[in-house]
Amino acid sequence: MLEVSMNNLQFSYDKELVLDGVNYKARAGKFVCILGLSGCGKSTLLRLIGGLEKSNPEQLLVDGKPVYGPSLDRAMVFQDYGLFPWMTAGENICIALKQKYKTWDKHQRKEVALKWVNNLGLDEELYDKLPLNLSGGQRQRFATARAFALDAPLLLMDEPFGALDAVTSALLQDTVLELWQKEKENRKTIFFVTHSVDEALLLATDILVLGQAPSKIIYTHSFTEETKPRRETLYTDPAVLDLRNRLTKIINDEIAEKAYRLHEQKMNITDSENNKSVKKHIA
Amino acid sequence: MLKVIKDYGSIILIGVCILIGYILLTDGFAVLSSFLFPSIFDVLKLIPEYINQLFAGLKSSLYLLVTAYVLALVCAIALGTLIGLKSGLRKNATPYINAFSAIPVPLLTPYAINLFPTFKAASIFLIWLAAFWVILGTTIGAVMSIDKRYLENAATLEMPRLEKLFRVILPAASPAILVGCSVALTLSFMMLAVAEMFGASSGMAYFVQYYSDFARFDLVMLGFLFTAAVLVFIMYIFDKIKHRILHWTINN
Repeated sequence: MLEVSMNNLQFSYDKELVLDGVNYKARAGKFVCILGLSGCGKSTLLRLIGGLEKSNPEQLLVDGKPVYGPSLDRAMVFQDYGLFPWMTAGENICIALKQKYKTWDKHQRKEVALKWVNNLGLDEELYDKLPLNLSGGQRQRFATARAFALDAPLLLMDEPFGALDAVTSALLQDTVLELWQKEKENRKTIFFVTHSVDEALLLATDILVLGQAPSKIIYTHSFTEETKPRRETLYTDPAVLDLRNRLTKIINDEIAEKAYRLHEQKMNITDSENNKSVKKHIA
Repeated sequence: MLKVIKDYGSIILIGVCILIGYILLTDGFAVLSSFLFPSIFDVLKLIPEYINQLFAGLKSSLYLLVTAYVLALVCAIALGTLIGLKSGLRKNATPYINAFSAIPVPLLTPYAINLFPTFKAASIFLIWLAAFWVILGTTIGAVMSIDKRYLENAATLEMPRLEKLFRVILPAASPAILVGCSVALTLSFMMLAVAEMFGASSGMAYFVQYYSDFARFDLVMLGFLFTAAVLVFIMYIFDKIKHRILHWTINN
């Protein structure tokens, strides 16, 4: 339930500008999906909110305060490496709970961890298994369970279901949506990075499309409770189909522009090499 | 019993083949000199008479080995973790680590004897040094190469430093650290032999050295076999510990 404000947010990796003036304000309780091409800065934006990258304190505010580093108020779910492989899946949840609820004893932690294991539709028998012995879907469920168990008001999910098969991914999308919707007025604010337009349409209350790096937001769309697509209407509702086409076109245009830009760069390099070789020949 | 045969059958078979080979080369066809390579049966007959001496040597050697190795383990892992985590310290310390670790430890024997008040202290120092450099090097490398995502995962949980060290950094670095520990253990054994060759009055290497001076190669052979058996046993225990620590990796 935290508000996130980005005011002309800029960020560079080794002097290379990745984000160039991102302006956006996510109201508390929103489910924001971020779409964009690979390398456009979606994950960077999420890492900035998560405090894993340093931002200008004036350009990024969470709940009105600058972000100075990671916090238990901002739980993260990564695409991989979400769980520590040397701990059992259950221990992975418990160690997170230990940091958040310092006065809880081992039994309290286990009780809450098991509750979230059940909420995520996992078998309790998996609690004592190592991540190595779990499927990709089960691992992501445990990582999601850990994030929800922390009860962080802001949840940051970086392509969490990107590496899963379609069925597992769909099941997890439904679970996350259900858990988020269940909290009603105390809903967490979720930032969710994805490559999939359909996933964004299904989950988001707000969709952001980032342009090519150095990127800024090139398109936004907000749903109301009434207009928010559901899985049943995802492929039948004309308004949703129209929006999907629009989003796909925006992304395809970006791909075409990127391909053109790369081609131009390649041509420039070839021209300059040719010029050099001609000069050398003349000399 | 069946499980032992199933698990270790091939290993036992190789051992038996080596033994048969030795018997054929000595008793069978007398290819090897019986003075330097005595009959295995003659060697085995010596066990009852020398068993107490061998075990007294084992006790003395283990005291030196365990003390030095444990000290090296603690010092090298603590220092290696610190250097691995602090890039500034690493930058400044690496040239010196490279320089000092390149000095062959046996060459430092005269210095050790001169600097330390007793033979035991000098021996422990030499064994410690041999193990220390290897474990230090692998620990620095292991900590440096921990996947950044594990550290970020710990950061998002706001894990306190000490807990992060024991629950994230050391487990993540443990596969590589344990490789170094294994090499260091073998080196420690070799260094033990060097250390026991001066000033010692008992020990496994001392036993071999002492009877070699009297050209009692049957007892030298007995000393070799006993040392090999101890080494195999210690490495077996070490492997068990290693497998326990690395139970979460694919190969375990």
